[in-house]
Amino acid sequence: METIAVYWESRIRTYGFNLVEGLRLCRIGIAPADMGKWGQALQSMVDHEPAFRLVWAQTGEMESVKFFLLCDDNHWSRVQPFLERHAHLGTIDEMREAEKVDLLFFQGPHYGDRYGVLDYALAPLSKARVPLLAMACSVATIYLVLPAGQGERAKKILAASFEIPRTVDT
Amino acid sequence: MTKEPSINGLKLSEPLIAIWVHEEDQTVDRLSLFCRLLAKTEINIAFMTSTSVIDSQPALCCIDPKDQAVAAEWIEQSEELAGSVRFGGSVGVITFYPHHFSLKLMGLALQVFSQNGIRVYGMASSIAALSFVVDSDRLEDAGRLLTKTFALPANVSPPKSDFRVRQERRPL
Repeated sequence: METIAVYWESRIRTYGFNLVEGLRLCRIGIAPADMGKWGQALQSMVDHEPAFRLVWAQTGEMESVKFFLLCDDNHWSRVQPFLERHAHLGTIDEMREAEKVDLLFFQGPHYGDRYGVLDYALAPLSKARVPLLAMACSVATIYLVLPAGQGERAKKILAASFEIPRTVDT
Repeated sequence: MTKEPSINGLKLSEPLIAIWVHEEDQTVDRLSLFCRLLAKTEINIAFMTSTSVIDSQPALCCIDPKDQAVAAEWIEQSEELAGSVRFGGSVGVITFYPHHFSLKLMGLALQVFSQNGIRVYGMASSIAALSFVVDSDRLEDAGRLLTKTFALPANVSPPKSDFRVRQERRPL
C-alpha cells in the first residue's frame, strides 16, 4: 500500500546555507568505452580519505562522460598526483585555475520530492544577475557553483528568500 | 579474500523521464526559465545537473513520466525553450550512502556498471549519498549489482520507498 504525505510551506524552509570558498574545479572527460578502466583506476587510490567536496558527471549525446570534481587544497594534494598518473585515460583539466570557485549548498525537508524549490532559489539569483557556473540537485540537496567571490553574495540573497528555522533559547 | 566496502543503504527511484536542456548561448537564463515553467506546472525535479556555462554538455533533468505531456506542451509554447529541450528515454536513479567523499567507492560502482553494460547518463553527490542516472530497465540490475558489490547491514531498509511526499498549494 502506498502512503502519500502532503507537504506545504508558505515560505520554503532550509536547514541552512553552507558556503565553501576558493575550491578547485577539475573536469575529466572519459570515453564510454573506457569507463570500466576509469572506475578501476579510481579504486587504485591509496586510501579512503575524503577526496572531494562535490562530484558530478554528465553525458551528452554521443559524447564522452564529463566528470566534475570540486576539491579544496587538501583534497587536491591527494587527487592531483592520481590524475596525473591516469591522464592517459581521458582529458583532464583544472578549470578556472587562477580564479577558483565557490560552492553554496543547502538542503531542506523533502526537497527531492517537491516542485518549485529550485525555481525559488534561482529566481532571486537570476534577478540579481548572480552568475552561476554549474549546479547539481540530488536527493534533498541543491549545490550551486559560483565564480570565486560570488558565494557570499548569493548566500545573502538566498537567506533573505528562504526561511531558516532558528534555535529558541529557553 | 577481499572484503567488500561497507555502505549503509541503497535506494532506487521510480521510473523517470530524462530531459536535456541545451544552452548554447552560455547563460543560465534558459535553465532558469525551464525551472520556472516546471514550478508553474507543479512538476518536481527529481534530479538535475547543469554545467552549460563551463562546458558544452546540456543540462540533465529527471521528472516523473506522468508530467511529461504537460511539460512538453508548455515547452512547445515557449519561444525561448522550444527547440532547446529534448525529452530522452525512461531512466531511474540509483543512490547509495554514505559515499565518504571517496573516489574509490565511486570508481567501484562505475566499474561494476560498465562491466555489466549499464550506461550512466548522469551522477551527482549530495551530503552523504551518491546517485547515478541509468536506464530504467537496468535499474533493478544496477541495484542487484551494488548489493553484491558492497556490504550492507543485515537490517537495511528496502531499496524502494514505501511512501511518497507531494507538494501542495496553499489551502484557500
